[in-house]
Amino acid sequence: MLRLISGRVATSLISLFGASLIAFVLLRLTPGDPARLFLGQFAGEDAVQALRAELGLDGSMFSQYLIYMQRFLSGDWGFSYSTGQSVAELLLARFPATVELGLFAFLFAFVAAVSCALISVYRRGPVSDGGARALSFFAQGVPPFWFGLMMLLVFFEGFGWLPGPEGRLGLRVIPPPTVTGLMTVDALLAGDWTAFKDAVRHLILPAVTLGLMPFGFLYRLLRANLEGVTREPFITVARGRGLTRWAAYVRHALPNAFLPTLTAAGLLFGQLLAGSVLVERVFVWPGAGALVTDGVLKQDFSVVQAFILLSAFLYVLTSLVVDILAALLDPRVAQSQGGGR
Amino acid sequence: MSATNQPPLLDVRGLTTEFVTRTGAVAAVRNVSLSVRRGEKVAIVGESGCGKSTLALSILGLVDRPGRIAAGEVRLHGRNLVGLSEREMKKIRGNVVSLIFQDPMGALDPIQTVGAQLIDTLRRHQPSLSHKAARARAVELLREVEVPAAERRLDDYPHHYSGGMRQRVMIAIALANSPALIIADEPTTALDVTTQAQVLALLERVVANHGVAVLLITHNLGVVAEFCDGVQVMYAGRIVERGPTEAVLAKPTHPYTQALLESIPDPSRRGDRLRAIPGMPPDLSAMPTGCAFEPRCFHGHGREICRTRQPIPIAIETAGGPSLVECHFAAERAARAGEITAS
Amino acid sequence: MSPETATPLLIVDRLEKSFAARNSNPFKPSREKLRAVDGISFTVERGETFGLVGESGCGKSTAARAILRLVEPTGGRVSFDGIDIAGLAPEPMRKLRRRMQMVFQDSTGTLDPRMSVRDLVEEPLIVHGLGDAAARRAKVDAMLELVGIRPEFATRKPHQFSGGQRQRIGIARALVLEPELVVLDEPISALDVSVQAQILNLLKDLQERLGLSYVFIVHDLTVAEFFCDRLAVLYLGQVMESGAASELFSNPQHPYTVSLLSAVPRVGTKGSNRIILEGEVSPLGSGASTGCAFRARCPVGRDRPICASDRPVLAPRGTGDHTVACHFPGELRAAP
Repeated sequence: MLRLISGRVATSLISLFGASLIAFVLLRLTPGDPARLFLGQFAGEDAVQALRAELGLDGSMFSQYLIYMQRFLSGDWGFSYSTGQSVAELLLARFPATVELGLFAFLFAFVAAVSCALISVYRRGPVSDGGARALSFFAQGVPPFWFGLMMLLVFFEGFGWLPGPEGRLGLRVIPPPTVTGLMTVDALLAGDWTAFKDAVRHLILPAVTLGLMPFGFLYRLLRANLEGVTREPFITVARGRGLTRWAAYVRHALPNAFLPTLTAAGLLFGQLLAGSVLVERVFVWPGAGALVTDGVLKQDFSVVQAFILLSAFLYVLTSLVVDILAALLDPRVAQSQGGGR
Repeated sequence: MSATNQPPLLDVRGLTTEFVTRTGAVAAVRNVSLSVRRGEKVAIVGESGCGKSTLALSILGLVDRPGRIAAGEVRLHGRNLVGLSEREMKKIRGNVVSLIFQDPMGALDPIQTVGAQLIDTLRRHQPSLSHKAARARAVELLREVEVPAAERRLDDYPHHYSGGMRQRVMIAIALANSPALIIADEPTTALDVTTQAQVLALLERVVANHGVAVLLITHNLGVVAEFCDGVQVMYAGRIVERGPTEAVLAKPTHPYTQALLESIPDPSRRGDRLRAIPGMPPDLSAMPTGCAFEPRCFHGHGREICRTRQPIPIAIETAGGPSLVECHFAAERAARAGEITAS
Repeated sequence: MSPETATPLLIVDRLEKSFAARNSNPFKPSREKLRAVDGISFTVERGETFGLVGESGCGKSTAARAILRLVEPTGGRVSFDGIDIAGLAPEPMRKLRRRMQMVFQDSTGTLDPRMSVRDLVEEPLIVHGLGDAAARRAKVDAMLELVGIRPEFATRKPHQFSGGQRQRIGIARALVLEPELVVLDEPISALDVSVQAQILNLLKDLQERLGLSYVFIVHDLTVAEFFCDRLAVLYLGQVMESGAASELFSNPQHPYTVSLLSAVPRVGTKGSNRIILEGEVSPLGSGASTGCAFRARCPVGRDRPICASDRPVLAPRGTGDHTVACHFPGELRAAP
C-alpha cells in the first residue's frame, strides 16, 4: 500500500511539473509585454527595461521559468500587473471561496446522485426509469447561470427562504476570524453558530446550481453501474443470507457500483473549481473566478498563472486522494498493483 | 416412505412464476408441486431455461419485478411463504432456508472479506452473538468445510480463494445458522472434476452431520445420480417426471428424461452418433397447446393427443417407490420399461 | 522419413510456453517462470481427433494457442504438414493460418454483435482475400447450411440465436476457410447436454465429410472418451499419460488419470469408492522442476523419495502407443 501511494505521489509531481510548464509557456507566448502593461504607455523605455530585468523577463524562456518557479515555491507569486497588489494575497483571499463553493457543490452532487440512483434502481419500473432519465437530461442540459437565476427567483424573490446574491455571508453577520478561508470551517472553529448557519444558507443555492451538472453525470453513471451490480449473484446470495433487498443494495451493491465511479467523481471535482466562473457571477460570489477572467482580459499573467498552478495542484491532489481511496476501498486494486499480499 | 404422517419440510403446491413483459406475462415456472422431507436430498434437473433456477428463487421469495409468483403456495414447516413481506422473509432466508449459488467468481461480495460476510450472516440471525463469539464460530465453520488455515483466511477477500475454496465458503455461510433446508443452485458446475468431487463429498458429509435437507438444482445427471434420493425432471417450466433417483435414471418413463440420458456420450458406443434431442426448448411466450415436449419427442411427435392436450401427471409404481410422469403414454411406456432403452 | 502421405498432419515436439511469474517484489526481480506448457509432445494424424484433456490450469488451452502461434511458444517445435511453424515469417504464417483454424468455447465473445451471421461467416474469406462477392456469398450460404443454420436466419445478429446455434456459427466461421486442422477449445462445455450432443454430432459429420483433423481441448472426460481417437492427459503443463482413447480409459495407468476418471459423477454408478484427491491444482513453486508435477496430490507417490527427486519420463506401457509418465504406473486402481 505504501508503495502504491509513493508511486502515485511521484506521478502526481510529474503531472504538476508538466502543468506548470505548459501554463508558463502558453502565457509567455501570448502577445503583450507585461512590463509595458504594468508601467503604462507613458513610461520610458529605460523604466520598462529595468522592470523587465527585475521580473526576470529578459532571460531565456528556461531561466524565466526557473526564476518563476523558485519564487512561486517560496511564496512570492509576483504582483498583479493591473492593480499592483500581491498575487498571493489576491488569490488567497478569493481562492478559498471558490474551493468552499466547489466542495459544497460536489457534496450536493454526490449525495443527490447516490440517493437518486439507489432509489430509482430499487423502485424499478417505467415511471422511475422515465423520471430518472428526465432528471439527468435536465441536470446535464440546463445552463447553470439560467438555472441559478431561476433558483434565486424562486427561493429568494419568491419564497424568501434563502438569501439573495450577496456573497458568502449576510451583511449583519460578523465573519469569523480567517483560519482556513473556508467560511463554514472557520465558523465552526470559532464556535460561531450564527455565522455557520448563515454561511451554509448562503452556500445552498450556488452549490446546487454549480453541482447540478456533475450531479446529472454522476447519477447516470452510478445508476448504470448499480443496475449492473444488482444483477450480480452476490446480491441474490446476500439476500439469501437474510438481508432485505434494500439492505443488500445499500451494503453490497452500492459500494461495488461506487468504486468504478470514483475516478470520474474526482475529475468532476476538479472541473467544478474551474467551471464556477459563471455561477460566481450570478451569485456575486467573491471567488477566484472573477479575478481570473479579469486577469485574462487584462493580460495579467501572474494572476492567471498562479491560478492555473493552484488549480492544477488541487486537481492533482484530488486524483491522488481518489487513487488512494480506491486502493483502500477495493482490495483488488491493491493486489493488482502488487501492493497487497 | 417412512413417517408419512409427518408434514413435509417444504411443500410447494401449484407454483406458477411469471415474468411480465411488454407483450404479456410469460410463465417460467408452471404449476409446479414438489415436496422435500426432513434430511432428504432432492434434485431438480433440467436444461438451461427450463425454469429450475426461477423455481429455486421463487421458493426463497427472491423473484423481483418484473417477475412475480402468480399462483400457488410455498409451505415451509406448514407456513405459506408466498406473500410474506421482505421483513418476514429475511428472518427465514439464511436461517431456516439457505442458498448456495453457482460460483463463477460472483457469489461473494468481492470487496468484503470472507469473514465479514460469514460473521454478518451469523449475527443477522443471532443478534445476541458478540462479534468475538461470531468470529470464533466463523472460524469453526471454515474448519468444518475444510478451509486450511481457517483463522488467517477469514480476513482474506474472495479473490484470494480458489473456485473450490470459495464454494466451501458458500457452504459454510449456508450452514451458519443451522438451516433445515439448503437450496443449492448448480453448486459444482463451474468447478473442475476433482474439485467437484471434493465439494460434493463435503456437502454430502455436512448435510448428513447436520441433518439438513437439500434441494439441488443441476443440469448434471451424474451429480443427481451421485447425490440425490429423489429427482424431479423439469422441462419448459413443468416437472415432467419425478420419482426415486435410481428408478427414474435407470428406467426413465418420460421421453424427455430418456432422451436427456441418451444424449450423454456413452463411451461404449464410440464413433456412433449421439441421440441428440432435435430442435430447441419451446419459446416460453409461445408454448404449444399440448405437451410442451411434443415437437421434439421421439415418441409422441405428431400424435394428435400430444399436440392438443396437456398431459396430466400419471402415477407409476417403481421399485424405489411411486413416480409421477406427465406423459399421455406414461402407463404404456412404463409397462414395457424393460425394452425402452434405445429403440 | 516415410512417404509424404504418412507424415502426421501435426507434430508437436517438446512444446513450451512460460510466462513471467507475477512479481511480488519490484526491487528483487524474480527469474521465476510459470511454465504453462512444459514440454508437451504429440502427433495428430490426418482425419483424426486428438484430445488434450485436463482440469483448468493444466495448460491445455495455452498449448492450443501456442500450436497456432496465437501465443508465441518459448520452446519446442511445431510442424504442420511438414512446415516448421516457429520460424515462419508473418506472411507465410498468415497463409498457413487458413489451414489451421480454431473454435472457441464462448462463441458469443468472438462474434461481433453488430454483424449479421452472413457477414460474420464471410469475414474470414474477406480477410484472406478469397473469391469475389458472389463466390463468397455462395460459399457462406453453403457453409451455413452445412452447420444447420437456416438460410432465412442469415441476416440475423448473433444475440438472436441460442448458445448452441452461436456455436454452429463459430464452427461455420472456422470451417469456411476449408482448413485441414481445427483446434476445438472446449466447444461444447458452455452448452446444455442435449445441445452438446447436437454439436458433437455436427463435428463428427463435418469431420467425415471434409476429412478434418481435430485437436479437441476438453475437460469433460466422458466427452473425451466418446469423441477422441487418441488423447493426452495433462497436468500442470505436462503430459501424464497418452494413448488411444479406448486403451487409456479402459486401462488407465497414471494415478492422476485414475483419480480423474473416478471423480466423474456418472449415471448408473454410486461412487462410494471414489478416489478423492486432496488439494487443488496449483503450481509447486520454485524447486518444482525436479520430481513429478503431480506428486503433491498423488495418493501413490506423495511420500516416495523418487517421486520428489526424479521427474518421470513418458514410457510405453500397455498396448499400442500408450505411454505413461509415472514411476509407479498401474499401482493405483479405482475400486470397482
